Amino acid sequence: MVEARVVERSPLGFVGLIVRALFVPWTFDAAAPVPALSAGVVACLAVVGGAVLSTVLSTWTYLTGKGLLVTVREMDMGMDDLPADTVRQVAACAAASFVLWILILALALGIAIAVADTIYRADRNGFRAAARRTGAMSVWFVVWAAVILGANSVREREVRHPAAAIRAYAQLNQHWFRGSSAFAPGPIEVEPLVARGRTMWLAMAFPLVWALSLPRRGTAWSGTPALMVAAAIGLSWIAWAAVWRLLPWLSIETFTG
Amino acid sequence: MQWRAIAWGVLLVAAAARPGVDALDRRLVQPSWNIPSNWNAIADAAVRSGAVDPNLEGRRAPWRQASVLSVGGTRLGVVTISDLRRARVTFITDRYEPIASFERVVADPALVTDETRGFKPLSHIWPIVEEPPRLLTLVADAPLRSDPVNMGVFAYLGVGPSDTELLFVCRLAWGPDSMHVELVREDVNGDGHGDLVLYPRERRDAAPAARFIWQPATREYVATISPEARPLIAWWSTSPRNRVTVRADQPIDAAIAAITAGFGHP
Repeated sequence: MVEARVVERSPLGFVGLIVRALFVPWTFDAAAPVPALSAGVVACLAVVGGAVLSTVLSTWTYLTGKGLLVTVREMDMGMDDLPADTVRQVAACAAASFVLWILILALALGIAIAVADTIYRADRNGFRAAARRTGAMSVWFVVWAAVILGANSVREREVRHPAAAIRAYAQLNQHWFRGSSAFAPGPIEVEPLVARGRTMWLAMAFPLVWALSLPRRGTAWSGTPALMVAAAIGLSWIAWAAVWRLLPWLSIETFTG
Repeated sequence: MQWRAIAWGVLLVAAAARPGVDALDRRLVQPSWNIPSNWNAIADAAVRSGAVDPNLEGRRAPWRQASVLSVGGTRLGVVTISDLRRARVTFITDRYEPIASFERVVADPALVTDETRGFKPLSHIWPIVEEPPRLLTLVADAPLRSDPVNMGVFAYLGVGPSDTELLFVCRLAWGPDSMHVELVREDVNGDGHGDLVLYPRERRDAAPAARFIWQPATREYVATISPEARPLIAWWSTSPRNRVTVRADQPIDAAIAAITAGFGHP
């Protein structure tokens, strides 16, 4: 009965979909169904947007900046006995960083859909709705990437100078300490916003907001929505923990920069 | 239902066992040997593969760094782990096989973190020479910031997999009128072995102020020093009667200090 009423409504518009996913994801049940095309487009744009923003906060952006502002012979980490990277190496690694972030965000989508498939194993309509809403909720990937960029700027006390914040990130990521090392090296400090650190925030936070968007009305979970949300979050974290151990983090962190 | 349970089970078992993950990771990171700004990944991979002991004095070293050198047509990774006071330098092949290692303890963190020279005073100043089973290199006991080797204490080492042999130790000083000498490695007599030469005022076209010729038969340096260079250098050479080796897990600095103590006050 409830499902029939939902189908009769006109589909959510593109902007409405994003606004709802961002601000009131728990109200999807009260809205019109999410069109598959819109969900797919939002997912593609969010993955690409998140990957672009994530690639901006990388060593490769710093080296590219040095190459553009100084000369390509200066695409190094500021240690004069170490050779510079070549244009091809910097370009290839920046591309690799972008691709890796796309894969990581696609993995996040995949985990959410796999968990939804398990949660709605006996309710294929519920699964299809959950899968489309997962596409809509992927707009949070852009939010996550932007928050990481902002957090780095705050951490580096360079809110007004994003380029300086990226430079500070790249140098700390390379040196593992701050300061003028030749004269007074600072304490050892490992950059926390490298790929693993950033992805940890995604793995922890995305299931929390994503689970709020899952269908409850007209599904087997209608009577126990809180339990369903908790199960979705718990299963997501278990999946992330398992996948985490299988990822080649050393190469991911190396090439994401 | 059944295939979902199997899929989750496979995922959890694979996560517990991590079959081939580290090997895949090492293979994926292999291109980093060619990319200078990625060289630190070599240090991480070397630690993961067991080629480099990550512990110093029983605790995990909090800092690592790596660079890549070409030695005799092959690539060597120079991996340093450190707490900025104590450090271990390990030389590895690009198959992550350790071939030499030594440790240092210094009071001045700048000595182990000399960023402006790519952290090399700790590990090496000159190009490394391979004389199996050892690698020959010069280390500094003074922070060098892209300076020539002309002031301070320096030690020429034969670094092996289990110990390091001190081959030559010197203390260079400046004299009146900024007179000074630069230490250089050259094959003076064309016998294929590296000798040590002091050039006045870094002028390599001038007559050497001193020569230390390596004698392979007796394994010692034999010196010829001009009168004007004598006040500028105090030196010690290994010899059949006085051979100093330091175990790979012991810092070389105490042995160098014991030798320089015999030089007297500069």
